[in-house]
Amino acid sequence: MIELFDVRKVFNTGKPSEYSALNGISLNISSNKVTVLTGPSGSGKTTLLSIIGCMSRPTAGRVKLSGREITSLPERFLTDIRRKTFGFIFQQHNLIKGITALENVMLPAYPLGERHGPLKERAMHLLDRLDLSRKAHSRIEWLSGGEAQRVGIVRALINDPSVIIADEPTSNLDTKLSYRFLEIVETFKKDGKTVLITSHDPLVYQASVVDEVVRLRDGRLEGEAP
Amino acid sequence: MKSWIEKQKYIIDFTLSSLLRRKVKNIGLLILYALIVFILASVMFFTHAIKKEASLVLRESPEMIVQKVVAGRHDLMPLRYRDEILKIRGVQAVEGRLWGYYFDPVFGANYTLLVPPATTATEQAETEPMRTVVTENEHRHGPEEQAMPLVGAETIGAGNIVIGNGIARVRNAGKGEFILFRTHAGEGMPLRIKDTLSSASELVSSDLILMTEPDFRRFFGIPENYVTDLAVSVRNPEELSTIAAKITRLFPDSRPIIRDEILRTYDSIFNWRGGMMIVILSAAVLAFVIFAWDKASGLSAGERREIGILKAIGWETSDIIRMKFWEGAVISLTAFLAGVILAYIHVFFTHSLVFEPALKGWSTLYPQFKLMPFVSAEQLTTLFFLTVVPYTVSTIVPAWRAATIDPDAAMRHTGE
Amino acid sequence: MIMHPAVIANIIAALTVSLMVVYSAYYGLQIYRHWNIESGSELQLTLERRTYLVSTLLSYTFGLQLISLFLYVFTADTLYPLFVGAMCAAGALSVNAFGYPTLILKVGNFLLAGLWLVLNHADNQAYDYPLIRKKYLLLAVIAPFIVAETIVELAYFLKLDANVITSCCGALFSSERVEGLGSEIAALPALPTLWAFYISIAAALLSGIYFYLRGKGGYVYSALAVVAFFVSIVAIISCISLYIYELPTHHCPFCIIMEEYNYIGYLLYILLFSAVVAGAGIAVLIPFRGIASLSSAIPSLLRRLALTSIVSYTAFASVVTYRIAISNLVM
Repeated sequence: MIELFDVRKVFNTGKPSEYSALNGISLNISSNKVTVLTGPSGSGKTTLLSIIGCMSRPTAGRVKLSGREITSLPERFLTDIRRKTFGFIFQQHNLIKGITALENVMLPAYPLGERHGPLKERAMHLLDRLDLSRKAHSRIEWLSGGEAQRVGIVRALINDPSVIIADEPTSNLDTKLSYRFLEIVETFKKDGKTVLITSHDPLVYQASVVDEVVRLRDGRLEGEAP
Repeated sequence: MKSWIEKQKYIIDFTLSSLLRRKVKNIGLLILYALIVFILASVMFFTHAIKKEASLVLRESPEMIVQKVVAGRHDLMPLRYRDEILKIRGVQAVEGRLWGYYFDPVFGANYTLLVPPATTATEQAETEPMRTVVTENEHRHGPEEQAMPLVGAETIGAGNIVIGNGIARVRNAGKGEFILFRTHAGEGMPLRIKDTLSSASELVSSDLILMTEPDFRRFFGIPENYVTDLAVSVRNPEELSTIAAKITRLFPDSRPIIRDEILRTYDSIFNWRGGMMIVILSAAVLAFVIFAWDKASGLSAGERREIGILKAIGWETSDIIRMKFWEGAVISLTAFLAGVILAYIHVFFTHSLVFEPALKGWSTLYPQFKLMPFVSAEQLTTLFFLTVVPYTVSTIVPAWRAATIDPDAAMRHTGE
Repeated sequence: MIMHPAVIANIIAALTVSLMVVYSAYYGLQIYRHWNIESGSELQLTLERRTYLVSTLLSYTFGLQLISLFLYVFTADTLYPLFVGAMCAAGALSVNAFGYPTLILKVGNFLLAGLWLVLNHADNQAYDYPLIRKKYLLLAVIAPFIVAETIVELAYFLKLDANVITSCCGALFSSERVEGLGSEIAALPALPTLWAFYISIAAALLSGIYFYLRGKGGYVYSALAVVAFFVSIVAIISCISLYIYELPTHHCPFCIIMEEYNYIGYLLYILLFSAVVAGAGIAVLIPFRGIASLSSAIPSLLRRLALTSIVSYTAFASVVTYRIAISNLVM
């Protein structure tokens, strides 16, 4: 599904502050599996995730998505692929304050120019699936932590992506809510979606739903020679 | 196409809600913006309307005025000049005019004294080009249509005067009362107010006093065979300059002034006044532009975060640029409309309360006239270029900067 | 120079547009030299971001260019009473040698900016920026014209002096009538010009419809659209304006945008401009049909341009015909 060949990412090229976040990563992420990227902070998890999720481009190396080379696509097309293929769940929820949960959920669909009626219907349906229909018209700042995260999850699903990417999803959740999250991941898997999670929470990478764990250290896969 | 429109609708919708969420920040900008538009629009509306008024008024004035010049100064015109000029081929009529200024030391005001032409109002209407009017190098005169002194000399009657509204206000005098003037010889000369002039033409008639010819000559001590100047009308307007040339040849000490020249001079004076005001105000516009630039580039952490989120969840750089475009458009449109409407009210309904004295000021007798509401597409386009364009251009680069925030910024930032 | 708010607005507009285009051209040149789509280096990412800035700036330029064109004519119309012998905007523009060159440059630059946007739009449809070098080269060509326009416009306004009464004597101005715009154009016989107008529009429309339906003869349509544009301008001056003013002698392409004529000129010129930009855009895009990444986007883009152009010309001709039909002038 997603193939990476010798991916490197260098920041601040040519400056004294130059540093290399990824040093040649080759990786294969298979579809309809739950993969966890783990490693200490600064190991390049997030950088790798953003490259896989078409949010940024590698300095060198190639990325293929379903067999299609996407390494040198301009941002315009990367974005198009991203919003149709990936749904993102963020550590900080990254919801926009001051507007309702429903509006937050619908935001990723705005640039696609879908008609308002069907879009709203779909959003309500998805909110309902995560027991949020009562909160649809509440503002984000009135929601509890767990509710906010579930709104973030619904938002990731609005464009019906085939890949769900979650960055440290449980870091702000207590144990009970973390289990609840894993239950939701299970439903994703049942729906045939590919799930990619970064986490250094044992509760996540040791969970039964996880098919594969990839360990990173210093921008390399653990176990490979520097 | 349909989805393109739908997309714009979503973006506009989101822009509006995000503007409303940042009310405080935006209201300051909006008020300042509207204020700038208001000031510039007021200046332009005012100068334009007054120019328009003046040119309407001048359109009624004689095609050509001939003055006598002695030592470079305007002097009394001997009546024999009139007869000679009348003999020039192509000249239709020549009329001697009597007018002058009188300084009233009590009220510190200058009045314009004028003898209305000998014909009566009805006769005047028939011999249209013969209408007599006061025009020195700029302002005042008589009427447009029935605006003002269609008062024939006979109707005033000896010992009577008709006064403009400004004088009536300043002196607090009404019909039937007497005003005591001092003649050139220093004697007192009481004249009875027979009537006041209608207020419709107050711009030009505010400080006007109409009197009969004998009264006028006694007042200023002007001999019988002299007048102030001559109003010449010509059969074919094309020949105006030829005839003017002939007059200068005939009387080298005379100075013909053609109406078009007065119009042009008038126009330039007001253009210049308006232009200067704009130049002075451009400092304010510049300050505003810098302020706008600063506002646009100094994104708050919250806004930065919001754009980062939008980009992370699938908005593209050009979507954000479009959002910023709509944001600018909404702000500009609101400020522009508010500023223009306020300026319109200010100039045409409250008599330019704020800077009437600065723009008008040629007399202590401020005319309290109502300007004819007049706004043209040209003025609005000009105003657009003076305000909206600088604002918009100053926000392009900051908007682009904001739009190119990395989409993965949302993942990188930690802590709320 | 005449201190008039509108003059100041014109100068601000010219300087702003120049500034934006020179700024874009500077970055355009950088993109031209360092562009490498294969690279993921930070320089390439920066350049890619710059393309957004340049296309935004150029879109604004295009819009400003259009409004400033009207502002320019408005200003000339406001100022004409200041000049001896000028009867309307046409007279004010011929007060010195720079008035008409400015106008021509303005129209030309507007069309160039429009074509650049067409090219830019096409380029954005492809995933590998196939036209990037060409479009920034075109931008480098446009920039000097825009700067020239600003310089000529400044010269026009700075050299403008009102014929005003001087202090000591009633100066008499020689009243040599200033000849209005292209008296040769005005002198063209009205009815044959009207025929030429309808024939050129009809020819353009026929070939346009053929191109729209069959996808062939794009260059022909482009050429005919450009010809129809010029013929239309000539026709406006020599005869259409007469019907609008209902005066057999007033050949003026400007007064029709004034209030007295219900701003009909705006409608006419906007239709005409959109028709010619879209029409000429076709010829600009056809050579790139063969590029693999554009092969799917260009044909539909061409059809859209053709449709825009055809509809605009049809609307233009209809408005003109309607105006002639209700005119009281009989020739």
